[in-house]
Amino acid sequence: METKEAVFRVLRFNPERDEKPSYQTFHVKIDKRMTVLDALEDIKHDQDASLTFRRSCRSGICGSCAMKINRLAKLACKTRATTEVDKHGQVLVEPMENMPLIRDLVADMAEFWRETERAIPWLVWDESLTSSLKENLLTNEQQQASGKLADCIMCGACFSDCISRVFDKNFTGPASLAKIHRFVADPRDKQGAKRVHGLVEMGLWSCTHCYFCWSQCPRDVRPVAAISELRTLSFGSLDPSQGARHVEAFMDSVKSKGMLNEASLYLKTMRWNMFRDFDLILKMAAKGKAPSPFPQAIPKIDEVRSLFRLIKEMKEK
Amino acid sequence: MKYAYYPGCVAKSSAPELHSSTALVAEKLGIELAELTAASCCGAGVVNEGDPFLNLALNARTFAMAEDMGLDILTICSTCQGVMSQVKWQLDKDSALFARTNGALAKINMEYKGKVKIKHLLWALIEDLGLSKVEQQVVKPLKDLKIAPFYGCYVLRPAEVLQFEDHEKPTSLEQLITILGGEPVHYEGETKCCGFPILFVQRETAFKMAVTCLKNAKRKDADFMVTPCPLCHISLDIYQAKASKRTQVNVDLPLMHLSQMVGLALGVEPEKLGFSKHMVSMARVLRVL
Amino acid sequence: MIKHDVAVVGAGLAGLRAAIEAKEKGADVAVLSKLHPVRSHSDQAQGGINAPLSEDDNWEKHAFDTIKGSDYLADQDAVELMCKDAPRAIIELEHWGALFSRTEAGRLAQRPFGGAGFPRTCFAADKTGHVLQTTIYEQTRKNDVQIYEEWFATSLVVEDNVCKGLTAIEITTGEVQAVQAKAVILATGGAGQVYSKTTNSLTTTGDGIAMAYNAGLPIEDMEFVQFHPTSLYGSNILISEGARGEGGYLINTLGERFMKKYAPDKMELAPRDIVSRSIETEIREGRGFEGGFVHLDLRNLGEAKINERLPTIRELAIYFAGVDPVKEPIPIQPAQHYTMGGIPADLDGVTSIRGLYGAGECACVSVHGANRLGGNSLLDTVVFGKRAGAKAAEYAKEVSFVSFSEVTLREEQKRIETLLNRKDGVKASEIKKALGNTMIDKVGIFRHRRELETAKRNVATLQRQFQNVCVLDSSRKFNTSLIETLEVGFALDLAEVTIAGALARRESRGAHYRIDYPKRDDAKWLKHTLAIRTAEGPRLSYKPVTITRFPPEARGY
Repeated sequence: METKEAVFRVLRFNPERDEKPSYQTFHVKIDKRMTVLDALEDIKHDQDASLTFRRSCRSGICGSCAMKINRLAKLACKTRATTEVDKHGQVLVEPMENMPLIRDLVADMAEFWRETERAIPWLVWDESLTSSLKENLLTNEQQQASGKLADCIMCGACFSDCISRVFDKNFTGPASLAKIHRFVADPRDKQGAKRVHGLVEMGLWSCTHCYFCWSQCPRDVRPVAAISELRTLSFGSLDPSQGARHVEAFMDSVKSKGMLNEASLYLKTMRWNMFRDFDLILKMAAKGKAPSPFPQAIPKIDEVRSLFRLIKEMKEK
Repeated sequence: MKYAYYPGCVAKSSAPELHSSTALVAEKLGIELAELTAASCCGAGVVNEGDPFLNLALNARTFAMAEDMGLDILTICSTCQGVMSQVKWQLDKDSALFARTNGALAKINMEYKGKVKIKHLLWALIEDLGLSKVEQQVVKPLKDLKIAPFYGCYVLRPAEVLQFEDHEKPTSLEQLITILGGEPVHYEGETKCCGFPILFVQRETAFKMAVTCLKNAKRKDADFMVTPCPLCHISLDIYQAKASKRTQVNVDLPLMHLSQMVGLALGVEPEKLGFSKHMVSMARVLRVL
Repeated sequence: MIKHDVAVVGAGLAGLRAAIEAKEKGADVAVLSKLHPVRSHSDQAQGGINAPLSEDDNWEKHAFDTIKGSDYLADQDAVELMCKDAPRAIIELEHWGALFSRTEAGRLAQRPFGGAGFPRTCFAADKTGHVLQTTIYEQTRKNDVQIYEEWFATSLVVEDNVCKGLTAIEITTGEVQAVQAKAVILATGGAGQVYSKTTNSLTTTGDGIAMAYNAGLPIEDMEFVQFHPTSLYGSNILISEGARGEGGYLINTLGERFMKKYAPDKMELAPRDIVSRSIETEIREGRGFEGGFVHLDLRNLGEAKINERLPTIRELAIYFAGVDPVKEPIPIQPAQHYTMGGIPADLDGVTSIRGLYGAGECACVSVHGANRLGGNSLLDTVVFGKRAGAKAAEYAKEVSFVSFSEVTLREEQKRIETLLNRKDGVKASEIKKALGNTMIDKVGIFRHRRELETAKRNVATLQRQFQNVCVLDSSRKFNTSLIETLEVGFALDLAEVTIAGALARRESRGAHYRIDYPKRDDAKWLKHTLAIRTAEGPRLSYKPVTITRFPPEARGY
């Protein structure tokens, strides 16, 4: 097979020798089938035995080889070297973000594991069934949502690339919330919706929907969608958090005016905190940008209100 | 070229300069905008968390309205684009959901047929009009200006939903900046988050996010930043001073809406583009031109 | 010194199931794993786990299929126990939350599998291993099982035929530690990486089997190596038997469903040894595609079925072979897949070394004999893992800790130190490559005395070279070169034993096929091979097969 030479810039850090990480350049012959993992193995065996990284299954299932490749977290065994070279000119390889560094491309995943194991990370099953030889009856449709979330291989890519996590260590992270939802959505779980309690403290409302976790997940788990669904569920539990108030205020606004009544949305969400922005509100008013506290409803608002009412009725049935 | 125009909520209230500059740019480029005045808010991803099905229905209603006009939808807000692309993607691939949504719409005598396309102005300029056509109309090239493109999130990810460009290596804003005569600068954070979605909920975190993007662009000597999303504009312009103060990082980087940047290069008078409505002054940039 | 009642080495299905059971029985348990548990090779299993659940099925039929599948080398009492316990073992997993695929009525769905007379393979699409491994791992969190993550076991401490613990490298720090345990359960999986073409993970290196061998335990039936018929050409990534179970065809260059010639009744669902030999024969006789593969055609299944039942293999084929099975046939060839042999263990995992137990693929009970049926390995792990855990816990209650000398630890530390400090020599990766190629070429699907003897010589040469192996990375912390080097050492020992057994066994049975002795010879060879380490190499002896219900018969499909 035809080969070409590619430039790999790899982050190196040996805690026994180095004060801080640095980059080392390797030249590797790649063909159109090789993955970044194949190239790393070639480097390790032919050029530098000290290059350190985790890997095991080489088929995208075990999750060992998650690392940042050209600045985004991916599985090295499922990332084609030529694709990276064609797109970015070189292959920049770094350890996962949001985790302390152990050595080279090996990140310390202890925090990640701690977060994903915070909130009852097992099915709370009906133990009266212990000696029963009958399975729970469950259709494929009923377990579809859980199944998708259970595809998670705990590779850490979503946690690595989570922007909120960079700035907010209280945010438990996408994988953790996706795992919680995996159980919430499982009809066999006895905890069920009770799992939603305590999620606010874990940062349920810290997710910004940047969609990096959706983009970078090698198993298409879509943690951000699970987070949205958990938020929806959290209303049922009379959650008075700012995040929940924001959603309710938004809904009210759309229902009454069709468009966003930003003034009331802001007030209802922020409440007394609005005084922090009083100066800003004044400046905006001076520029003619302050949202009117009495906006007009859109034409045909009755259609919008009908949809609100109809869908509420459909749910109640 | 004619579109069913969906300005979104913010362009009509907290960022009126976006709506007015869009109108001027459309006029220059011969794009006809038929506003969807009766369309509701897209929900911004927030209604989706209040009631996912309602989110689908409200947006499908907007789609149906555009289909009735026989036009595709043009958005000027990344968030509207992101939300609507997701709704359309969900409905188009799940026939049961499609049917159920139309079941709700039927009660208000509407039907989403699945034909409408939804494009951001940025995409329409590239795909429908063609950048060469835009280039032909440039009378005031943005010479000697380093421009930091801020893609943000919703116009890029998830790429399979938006179906426009590679989120890993987007080029639309760079291409546009280049043909308008400016010099695009790359910086860490151009595809990251401005913090707006959590601005009223996790203020500190949002400020840190915003400042990180701004300061990285500033370090690359950007003269201004351009964004296709008015919500990003709120976070990065309106709240810039507060974010700077809180994080103790001085930035002072002005931001243009996409339409303002295009309008400027096409020769629209700066006063008409509404820069005076920004919090961070555009004066230095305008002096260069 | 670290002390635990029960130390389990390996965190796959067998290891974790054993640990849960031992903990429930009151033992102070710890699991040592060179990977984080969710990375274990059990996670890779695709097709399913067998149980006679249907009213039209029963454990005797399952047992018969298993025993016939084993070419009558399986110990029938163990098979009976496994098949009888299967429904309980699987329903338990479902109760714990495993997301099995279901019938319309919501019951566990079952699919046909190779060598089975009835569709009794429960499955979770084609990611059964992932689903079960995740579920069992979650239950270890519930039971708060202690896990030493990224600890690489290097040797067993056995004195006076009593297992007293083990030594291990704490990979993150590089420290060589001693773990004192009343009972050690080895659950380290198979030894696929001895071969260059294997479906196994890069970390499936037979560590436990080799450690037991080095500690003086005879190891059993190592010549019986299963070659899975359908691995992706190029990467040898596994394409589940489930693909054939759902109706896929094997096609040669002439467009024929060639299995008609070799197993006219079962066709593509004949047992794996037969299908692998058939594919290999087709290739050797010129009816394979250039490069050495045939086609697995799933187009007749249709997109909907493939997406529902075989989504993983669709993705694997697209990504790693550039082929969408909905539209094109998949290029496949046989590859090493399973180690039928291993640590001789009884129905409770007990070995002939006191305090040493074995469960899962690294053990040889033997339920798989000369050839394993698909779906029986996952079953083996949870059935015998549980039993070993219970037995080890019971044993630990009855005995006290027996200390071992600090010298043992110091010697092990010195051994590793010497290895690390060697400045130059032979690269482990080169030895591994040469070993793997020798094994696949000469100790593969078709064997012959001449080639086996060449292989024996090659391995001896490589073992000598290994005396001078150089790690080329002298760091302590997270030294994966060191780990990989030690793994190659284990592989060389297992290769030597495999070849010895294959040379000695002058018959063909199950997965062991001798071109020079193509017939099964019950009169002379209905027995298990045992190999014990001596200075001159493995010394072989034999033990009888336990036969209860099913006297050996001709094996045709």
